[in-house]
Amino acid sequence: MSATADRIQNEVERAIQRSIKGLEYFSSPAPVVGHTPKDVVFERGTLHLYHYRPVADEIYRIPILIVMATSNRGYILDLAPGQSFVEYMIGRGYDVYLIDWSPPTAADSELRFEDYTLRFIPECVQRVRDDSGESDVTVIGYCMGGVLSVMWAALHPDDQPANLVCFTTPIDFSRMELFAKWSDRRYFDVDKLVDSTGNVPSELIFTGFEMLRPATRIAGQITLWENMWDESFVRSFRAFERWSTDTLPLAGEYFRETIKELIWENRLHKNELVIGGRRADLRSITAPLLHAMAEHDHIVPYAAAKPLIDHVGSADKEEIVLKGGHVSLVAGPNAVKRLWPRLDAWLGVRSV
Amino acid sequence: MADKDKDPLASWRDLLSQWEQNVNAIANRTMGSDEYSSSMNGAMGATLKMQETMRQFMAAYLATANLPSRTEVLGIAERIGGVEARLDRIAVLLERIAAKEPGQATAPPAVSRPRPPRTKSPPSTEPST
Repeated sequence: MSATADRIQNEVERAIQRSIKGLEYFSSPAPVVGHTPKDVVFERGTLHLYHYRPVADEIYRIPILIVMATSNRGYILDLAPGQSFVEYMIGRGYDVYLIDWSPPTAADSELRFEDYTLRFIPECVQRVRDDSGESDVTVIGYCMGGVLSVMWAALHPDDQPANLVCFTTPIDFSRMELFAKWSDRRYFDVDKLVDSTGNVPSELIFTGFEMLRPATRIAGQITLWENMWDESFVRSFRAFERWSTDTLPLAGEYFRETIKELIWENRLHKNELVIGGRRADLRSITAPLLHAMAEHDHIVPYAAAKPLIDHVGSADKEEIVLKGGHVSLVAGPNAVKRLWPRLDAWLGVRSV
Repeated sequence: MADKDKDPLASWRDLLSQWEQNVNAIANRTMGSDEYSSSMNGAMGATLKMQETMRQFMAAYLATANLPSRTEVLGIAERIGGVEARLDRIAVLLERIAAKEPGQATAPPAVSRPRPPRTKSPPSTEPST
């Protein structure tokens, strides 16, 4: 009886707190993200290469270069203290660099796969080598950042990364079923879209992601209201919310190639993709490879990501499938206890 | 389980979760059809056409008012961006030339700040103290 009374009292207090904090929620500014101190190493147009300041007394010999997905901001990997992948990695003694993208300008609409894989990533790898003084570099790619990293590694058989880590990276685009359906060549005129917009608007990219789970935003808002009394929940929710709505436009030609070469023709999966006159043969990848995928990934389903491990020529390769979704695999409380320690255990012994 | 039984909102949360899953599943089935794909892309085509018409109308209006259009302003921004990009490339070349000079093994770090030594070993191989 007493327990029930306590429970009721607790719920009443939470209801009051919800009302007070609900008002604060609507009147407070957006949460601060990307707090870990960093320096700009290199910038070119849409590309920004950052170096995070080491905090450990000694660091691993081999630096890490993270390639962020082109459709989203890199601060998902540096969301909030205690929920930052970058903060975790520098705390564990890694030297971390990150390629982040800003919205492409009209001049960037001509960017193609070859700009990303034969110019941007090689230039950044060289910058990391110069800045760190180490010739070996580990490359970590997230989602389309993983696809670009895989293409880059496949195009450079004689200049492999020390290690290649992919987070939820699609290879068989025919298995990204809804995206494949929506961009069905019988109905989707990608040429008309790109020719008339230049760069593909962020609203279109955002809507594409949202439509995969149309009820999730409403359910999320209800869950937010229910947990409005809990400051840490609200802080985390707002940071994720800010990131998920902060989608980037995509360079027009890059989008056209993604649709035609990857989704329509599935050339990466077939080992037929030609970039800048060179074939991106996945068997040419010989670096140690770790591919981390999420059990409930609605953006890159397991079937779309799975073929990577079979296709590469690496002798040392491993795939892990962890609980979580496309984003919770890499950020938030789920990632803190699952992916990050697994990555640290795999990468530490390969970073000396 | 006992805690869940006492929680008056537990059933509500389960219900919400089930609703979310059901709606997503139904929506995905609907959106995975040929009809949906056809109508969605038809609507997008109509929107693009409307935007193009608006763009042409605004360009004509701004030209009449002797004002630069968005395309023209973006053109100027592009040219400035091009100058910056060229400066970046010159800076890269200068750094590489500097690195080749005697006494410079590699290009200097972008930011000169004391760096910790690169001597860390993974925990399992670290000598116990």
